[in-house]
Amino acid sequence: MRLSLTKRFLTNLAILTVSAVWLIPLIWTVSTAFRPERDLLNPIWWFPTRPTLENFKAAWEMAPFGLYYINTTILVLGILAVQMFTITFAGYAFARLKFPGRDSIFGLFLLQMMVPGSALLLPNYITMKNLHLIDHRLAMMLPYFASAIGTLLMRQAFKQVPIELDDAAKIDGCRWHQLLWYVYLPAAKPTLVAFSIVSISAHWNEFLWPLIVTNSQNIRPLTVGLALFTQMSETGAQWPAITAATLLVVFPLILLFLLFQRQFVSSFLRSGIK
Amino acid sequence: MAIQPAAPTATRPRSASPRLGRWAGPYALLLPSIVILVLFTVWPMLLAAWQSLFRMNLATPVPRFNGLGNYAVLFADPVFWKVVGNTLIFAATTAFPSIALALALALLVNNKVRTSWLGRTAIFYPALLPAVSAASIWLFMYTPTYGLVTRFLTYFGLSNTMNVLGDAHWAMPAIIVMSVWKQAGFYMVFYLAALQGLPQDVHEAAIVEGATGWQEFRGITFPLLGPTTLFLSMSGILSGLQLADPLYIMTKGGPDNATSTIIFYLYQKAFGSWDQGVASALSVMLIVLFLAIGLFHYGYLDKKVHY
Repeated sequence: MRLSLTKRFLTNLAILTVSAVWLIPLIWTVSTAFRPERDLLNPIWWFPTRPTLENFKAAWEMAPFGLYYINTTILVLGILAVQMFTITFAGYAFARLKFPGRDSIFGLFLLQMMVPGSALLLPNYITMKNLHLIDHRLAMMLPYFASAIGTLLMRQAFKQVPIELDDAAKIDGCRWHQLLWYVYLPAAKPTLVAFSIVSISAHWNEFLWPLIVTNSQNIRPLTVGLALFTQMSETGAQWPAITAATLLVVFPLILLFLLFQRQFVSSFLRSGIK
Repeated sequence: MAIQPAAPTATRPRSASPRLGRWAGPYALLLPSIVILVLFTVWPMLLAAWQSLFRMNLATPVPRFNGLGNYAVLFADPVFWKVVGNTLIFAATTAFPSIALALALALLVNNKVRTSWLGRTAIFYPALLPAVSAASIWLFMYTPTYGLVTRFLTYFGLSNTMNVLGDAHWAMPAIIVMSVWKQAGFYMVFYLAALQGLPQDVHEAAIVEGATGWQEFRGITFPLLGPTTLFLSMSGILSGLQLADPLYIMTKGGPDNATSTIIFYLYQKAFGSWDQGVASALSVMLIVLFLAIGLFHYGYLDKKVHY
């Protein structure tokens, strides 16, 4: 339904205003990051008169952001890789198989969805200590290897596969792993993509748990690195360096988002509406 | 082919036909997940419950049974109540305004105008940022003298050395503003999807009946968005209750616990003062809270919403 000219004009104006407000924090951060430190108190011009990369260099030298990037990448991909297996297997089991205890085990998955990790920080830390995994990458990843949300999503996707296909494949002599690979997984591809995006975003952004279970810099991810970096500079308030560091952390995310907007948004929607 | 029924059942499940050879059985498929879930969801709940009954802190190297003593300590501590209050206030004041704003924005952006794409992108992107990055950005915005917010407020006559985050009255609202900025976009896309899924014939009937925009919204659109609103409310409250990350960057719970929340307080007790007994008691309370909410949600609410 096409709006009248005035309505369209007003709507555009409203959207532009809101967008500007929402973008201002980011623009301000970008502007400060590219500005030399002595220009910090200049009048608020969005475009720095003397753009410089010295803040990025400073940030990069003060903390190992390259290493943090690698760590975060290993963290999210490691978690996702294992999740792919666990959610596929568990999803199939719940979608197609009948076995005693099914409801109880399902309840176990529901439990993970109801009680968030933040309530279990201390006991899980103690478990990690007992497993001698503190300050090891696995400590950051292990609790997430099973995903109730992922399992439920896969279960839903698998249920869409017509049972005749399943029977036909078995008649052809299909073994279970071939069944999964050739019959079920292709049907679940969009779900896998959506879940991957959600999983990667969630674990890229995680902070408290990695903070707690790591002590040394060499496995710390970006979130922890950035947080410690801002605290480190507290007594010097090196804002240009901090804003540069913040940009270093968010820039790839924003870039990926702009490129894959549709997939991002539909992924979050898909996993929300169970 | 040797058939190995791995599932210890009297009757073989319908789908596990003998032709599948070394059929692993549903239990093997579920085993990895079960192990992780038991280890990191069930066991910690039990461990926390058990530990909460002991006095375990730096002054008590050998844990001593304390009954419900740790709980008593918490209930007697005014900081505990302040923290609980803060968390509840925070959850409510972030969730509902964000959702209301998200609905308004969704209605705005849903129109087919040229700036729609810009609106959607600009409002949604903060939701993708790590909480610590958003906190870092806003920490700078709130900084005395240099920060954008501070400088903006000086135009209204306020001193430019004012420290928003250091003021017990303004610190929490400051964080709420940041949270709404961050969350609204996320809820907006859910509303957008729901709006686009609304049946057209009801809308056309409303036009034929001569309903105004507002009447249509109140009588048709809003009720039809009920499931979405409910879902987002739950989601918003749950995430609001868990706020902690930005506090580490922005206020460390201060000033004087004005912005401390349950999870942050838990973090301080467990990993700051290493008071495991009290921290475990706190964990148990959180677990019970989330279980209650979860059971309410799945057991009761889900049945109530009309589709």
